[in-house]
Amino acid sequence: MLAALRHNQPEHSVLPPLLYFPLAPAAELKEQFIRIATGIGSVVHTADTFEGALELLQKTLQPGQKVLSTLPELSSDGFIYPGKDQDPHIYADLDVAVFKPLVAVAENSALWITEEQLIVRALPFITQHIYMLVDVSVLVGDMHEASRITGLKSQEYGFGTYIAGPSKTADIEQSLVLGAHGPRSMTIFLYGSGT
Amino acid sequence: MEAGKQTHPELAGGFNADEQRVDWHDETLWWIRQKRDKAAHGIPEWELLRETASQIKNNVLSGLADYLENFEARALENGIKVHWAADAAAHNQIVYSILKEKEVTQLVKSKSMLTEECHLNTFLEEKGISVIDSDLGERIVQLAKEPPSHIVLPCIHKKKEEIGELFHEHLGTAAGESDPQVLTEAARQHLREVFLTSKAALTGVNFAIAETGEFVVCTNEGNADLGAHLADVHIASMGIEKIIPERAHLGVFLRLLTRSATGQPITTYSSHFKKPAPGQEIHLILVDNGRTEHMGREDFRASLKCIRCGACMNTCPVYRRSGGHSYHYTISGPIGAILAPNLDRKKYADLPFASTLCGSCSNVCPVKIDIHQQLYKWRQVIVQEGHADLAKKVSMKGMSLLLSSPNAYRIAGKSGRWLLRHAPFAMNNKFNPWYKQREMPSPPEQSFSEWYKKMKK
Amino acid sequence: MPDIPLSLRIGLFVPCYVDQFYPGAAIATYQLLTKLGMDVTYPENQTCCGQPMANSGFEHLTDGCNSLFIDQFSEFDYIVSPSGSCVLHVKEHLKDKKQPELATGIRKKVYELVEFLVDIIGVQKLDASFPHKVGLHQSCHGQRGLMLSQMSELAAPFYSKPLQLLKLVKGLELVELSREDECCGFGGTFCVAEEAVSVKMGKDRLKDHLSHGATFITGSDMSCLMHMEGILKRDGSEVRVLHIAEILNAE
Repeated sequence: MLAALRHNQPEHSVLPPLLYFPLAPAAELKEQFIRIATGIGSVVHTADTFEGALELLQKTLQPGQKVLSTLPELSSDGFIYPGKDQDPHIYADLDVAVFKPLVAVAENSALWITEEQLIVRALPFITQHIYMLVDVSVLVGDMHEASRITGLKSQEYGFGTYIAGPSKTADIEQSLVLGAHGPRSMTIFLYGSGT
Repeated sequence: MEAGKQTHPELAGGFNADEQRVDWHDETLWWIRQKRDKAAHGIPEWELLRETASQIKNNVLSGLADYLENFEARALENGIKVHWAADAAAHNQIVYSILKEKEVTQLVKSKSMLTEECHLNTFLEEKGISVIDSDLGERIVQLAKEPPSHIVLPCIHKKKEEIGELFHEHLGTAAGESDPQVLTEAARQHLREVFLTSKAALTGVNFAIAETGEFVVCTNEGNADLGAHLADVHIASMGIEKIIPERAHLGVFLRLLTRSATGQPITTYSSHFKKPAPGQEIHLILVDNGRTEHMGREDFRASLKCIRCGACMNTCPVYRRSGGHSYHYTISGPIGAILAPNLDRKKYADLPFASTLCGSCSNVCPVKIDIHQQLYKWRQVIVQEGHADLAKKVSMKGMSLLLSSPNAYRIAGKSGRWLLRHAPFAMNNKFNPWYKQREMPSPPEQSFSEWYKKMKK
Repeated sequence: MPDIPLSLRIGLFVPCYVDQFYPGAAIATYQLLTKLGMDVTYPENQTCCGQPMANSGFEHLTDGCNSLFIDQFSEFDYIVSPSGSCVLHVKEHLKDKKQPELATGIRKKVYELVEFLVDIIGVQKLDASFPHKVGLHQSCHGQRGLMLSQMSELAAPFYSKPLQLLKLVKGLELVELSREDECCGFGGTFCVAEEAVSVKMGKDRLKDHLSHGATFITGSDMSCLMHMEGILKRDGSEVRVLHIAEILNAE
């Protein structure tokens, strides 16, 4: 198969240079991120500090919810902490999952998160609602910069995903419905000053 | 064309019997084209992005065999099981063998145009395996026992009332219920159960990265991830052209894909599968099914650059007014019309003619495939290979002879304007398709050449 | 206006169906170019560019048309035609095995009327008046093929050569359209091979013009206008189609 393919391929065509666009100031990135995230159905809260964000997060939780977090900082606060190699099916009734993504992209509000922060891969999909704690300092402008960072050799992962907003569909007459199969909502707690 | 099979004009004619529906279909898709314009025009470097994506894909085509070898080696290192399928039958057999070995009887599937191309569902169902499409639109057409009519929006041809009826029959929603919110919730509950009980999941692949051996799957619903992460076995089927060189190139394509497709800035989920989770297996099937042969066709290989965004369908004035099913091929619209003849020129001889060559498709294509130029070139190939119908052949020959000879042209012109007899728009009778809904142009007192001659005297 | 040498000889290429059915468009083109000081000749043995065959997949039958075209037009400095579609066909597909350099030469010097007026002559002023509400139909081959105006799909700055010229016409009121450059559905043999879709596309295009109050529809391709005129007449509409040359030449 490959021999035939080789024979049929066109002459070598060079790769274009990687694209790079200068990073906008942090305040601009933050404003753009919030605007886009809100535009695609996420709810965004802002706080000055991580502690402030946690406080806000606690306030938005409803009593009786089954809540999970993979942040060590929250492990003592009654949040479920998943174990490696667990059967994901046990989380079928999970209400809220809290994560801390590694990269946040201003142009599309996508949040990059890998298996290391997820622990169990199915979590951000199986949960009814997803909470994201986003440090302003992980904001980048666009997907070129995001791909550059996630493309670094140091970024090892078995699984990683960009998540932008709650799961959604518009398959029925193009009417947008949030909560297709995955989370019905995404709440983002954006904190820090980015310096 | 195969005997007994309907052609694009016939199927499109049927679609046009209900003009209100055509208007609705056209306006829905035009709205998506407008969302695409808004998203694209909001990015100052949009045209540079298209050019860059096009060049990356050109590079991929020129080195595909090496990239595939690299990709396979890295994927194997990552613990992914790699299979090669020369054609659709081989692909289906591989899927079946995996499922059989694991004693799986239910497969949950996310959107994969490749498995549509291979007719996997019918094959597996004949073997006693139930296949459940989990993308909402795909599930809807599956329940309706129809193929998807659009690669991104599989049930764009269906009205919510029709979907409501289907759901009433199959999922037990209330009779007459047609609210998209309610119907989507019903599908969510129904498919949750499927996700939680399926031991095997099949997904498509949007991009496969040669550098790292990982593959990327994009969905809005999260169905590919739910299926894959909850199953013991994840099968991913990809056409061999889905390769991109490095992770760093992914940004270009993720920026273009959904903005072109629906006007969204990115899909909700862009998931990178590199290694299987502990206790799971990932099987990746690399499918050729005519692609190597396609690569050998210089005029047509650029269509292998396609990233399946569907923008050419949304912008196509013919697609919008004829519906996806009128193309009678897995992939409809302009891109389908240039892909299908690679597989079967006789069966799909009509498709390259289902276009006015307006060129809008080539302008929206995020990887700059010369779609309308290829439609023109396919027409030449199809005629040369003898798939044009006889009547057309005769009239074209006559026209060509007449137009090559100034004398014949003038004499014909004098004796009542030859066009009245030869041009399709000039025959004033009910057998002429021009005249069915249009008046013919009225012949003037004198032609321009007659006017010119008199003036010059 | 840039200086045009007086010796500049223009060969007027009049597509077959324009010659036979729409002489008015060709006469207006001839008169307009003459008014602008050009030395215009209509080579009388011309017939057709071969596009109807080629677009139907019969490019291999166009050799006769091609050599006749070359015989008729090689001697001129420029070849000008009131049809974007035919010009695009010549530009992209004219070839001749026996005299390849002549074919290449023609492909470089053939111009659609609007682009000739704007790009070569640089028309800044016209002595024309047309006090009516006019809709401009952007024919696809002129627009996306010859790039007579910016295409709505591209993220690029706006320009429009036909609009630039129509703005020079006194009293002309241009109507806005909802879809500024959607195809009308003519498409050569498409108009009969795909009758249902072709007519639907034409009806939709007309609805856009009519709902915005156009009483005339113009454009630089008579074939699209002929198709829309066919539908208008069948509907008994008073709205008329006119080639852009006829408006630019209207006094």
